[in-house]
Amino acid sequence: MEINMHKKLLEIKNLHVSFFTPAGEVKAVGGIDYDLYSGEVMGIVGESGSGKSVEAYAIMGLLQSPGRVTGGSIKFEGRDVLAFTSKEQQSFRGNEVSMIFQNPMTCLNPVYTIGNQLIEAVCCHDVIPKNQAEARAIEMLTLVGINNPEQRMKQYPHELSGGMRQRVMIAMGLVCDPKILIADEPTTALDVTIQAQIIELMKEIQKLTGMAIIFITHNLGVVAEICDKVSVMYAGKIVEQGCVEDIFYKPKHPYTLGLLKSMPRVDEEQHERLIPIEGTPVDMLNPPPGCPFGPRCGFCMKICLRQEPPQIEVGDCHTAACWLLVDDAEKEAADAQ
Amino acid sequence: MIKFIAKRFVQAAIILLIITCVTFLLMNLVPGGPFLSEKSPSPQVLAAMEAKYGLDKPLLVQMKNYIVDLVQGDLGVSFKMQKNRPVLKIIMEMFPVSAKIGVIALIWAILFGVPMGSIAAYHRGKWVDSVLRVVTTLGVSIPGFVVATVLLILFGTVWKVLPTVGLLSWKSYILPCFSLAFYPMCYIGRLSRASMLDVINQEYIRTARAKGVSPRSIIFKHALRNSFIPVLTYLGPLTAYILTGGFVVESVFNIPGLGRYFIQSILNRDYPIIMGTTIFLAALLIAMNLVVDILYKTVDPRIDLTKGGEGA
Repeated sequence: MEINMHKKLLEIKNLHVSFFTPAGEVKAVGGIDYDLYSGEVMGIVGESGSGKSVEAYAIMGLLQSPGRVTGGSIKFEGRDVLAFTSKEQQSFRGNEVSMIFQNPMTCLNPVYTIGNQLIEAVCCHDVIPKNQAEARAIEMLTLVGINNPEQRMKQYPHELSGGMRQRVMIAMGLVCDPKILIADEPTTALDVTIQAQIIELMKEIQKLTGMAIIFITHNLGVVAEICDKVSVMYAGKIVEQGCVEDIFYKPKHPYTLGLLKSMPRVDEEQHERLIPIEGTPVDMLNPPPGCPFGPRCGFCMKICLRQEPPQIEVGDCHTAACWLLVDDAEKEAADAQ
Repeated sequence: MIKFIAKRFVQAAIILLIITCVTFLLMNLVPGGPFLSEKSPSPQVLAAMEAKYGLDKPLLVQMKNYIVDLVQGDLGVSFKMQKNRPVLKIIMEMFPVSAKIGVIALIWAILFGVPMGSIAAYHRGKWVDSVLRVVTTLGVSIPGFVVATVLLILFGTVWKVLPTVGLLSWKSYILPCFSLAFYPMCYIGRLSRASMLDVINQEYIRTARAKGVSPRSIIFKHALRNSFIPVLTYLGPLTAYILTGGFVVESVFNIPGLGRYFIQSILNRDYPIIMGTTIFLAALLIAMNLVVDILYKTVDPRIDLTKGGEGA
């Protein structure tokens, strides 16, 4: 595992995704870059509508009309994901990269048994006899901590609890041994005790299989728990990116700072008031010029409302897009353009 | 399951009894009688006839007698149309003719209707969808006698490719079956389209795509079965109606089926035949609804028949 620890799996460059609605173009993702290496767990945090799920759908090719990728590139092990034919895409999905979703209650087909859906996931990609696929499915169910898996295979989704269904979803994601698992808010729809179990399970599985995980969430606690790297998204852009310690202890972007301040902490000596981020999220149909966070930012300067800030390297693998990090001379030069 | 079916049988018996009573009373409420026409027989003959068939007794006694006979499986004899032949025999003779056309039409309607709807939903907003939408809208809005007559004129008299009356060869089945199937086919098409559109936006379809399932398998395996439930609901009563024959189609193509006979019996005031055909249709409807309810369970495992198993 150590050997391929630093193999680059996914390379996303300047990705743009837009939804062409009757009211106009909504730039849901406006130019994001990141790399994902094998064995890495990357968290993508951001509020609702910040484009974090859309970006994941773009990787999976699951964007549906009127959404489409309008620019940039997604490379998986050097192959251009966006140029895949539908055949290639089918074999890519589930096999190389698999995805689990937010609501396990509605993500499993209600009219087929768990076993049927798991075996289908295997048989989509490998031509193997049904009993082998079944054995594989049972093995996965055992791995995700489902007791009596032979029995569960014959059950329908409505006969299982939410936590169990999410475990089944995870098993389904793992059944083809993918290199990347994209988890789109996998714990949001579950109650808190089950959330903790699912996070624990994902950590264990990650250690066991060594696969990379993209963990999309709006829960910073979950990020601290499981991730190595974090990207903070706001209005379709990555505003800050770095390893988990950087983000939690040395946040550079005012938005990240705001997020951290609005999160309750149990380790604080005195119970401080939570500080909300003022204002409302950006109207994605008419995004403001300059920094998207500008209008809500406590440190907003003139330039912030005119020019979009560049990504500034503030540490080893730690970048943030904020004019506060740029020295005055450069700011003036940029502003003069 | 057995308990459920038993319960439904009891319900069915009660419903049939109510239908029998209501029909019997309504039928007798209409002024006139079976033996009155332009050339009415003499009062003596009339009285003798009424006495023979028990029509001289008070209405409630007549009804009681009818129900007692009905429970024993005796539907009485025809008064006029096929004088003194048992109604049950007449129905058993006519039903197969209607049912044969009905079954073909039904299969036709499902076999074309469901894929039409699915294809339209899959290509939503494209030209295929628009064409199918025009066809299905026409299908549900043009009255059956227009469809039947236009087809008859075009294929029967203008191009002379298909026979116009009777059921002599396999060719003569084409026009009546198509005429009978056209409306339900279009209706099923519209139902399937709406329900398919709803289903393909469900999250489990996205899961299936994320697993790498082929588009074909997504539509035919994951979506179709879920979208079939509304269609199944419609199929219950449709089957009963289509099997007992379309009055219009049987009249236009001159087919000796039950549908046409039912209407004629009303015009002729042939009481036992009106009662017999009504009860037969009602029983068939109830049976089909029961079959549909049982099929629900097969299509959708979430449906629990033992809880609140009403219907019919």
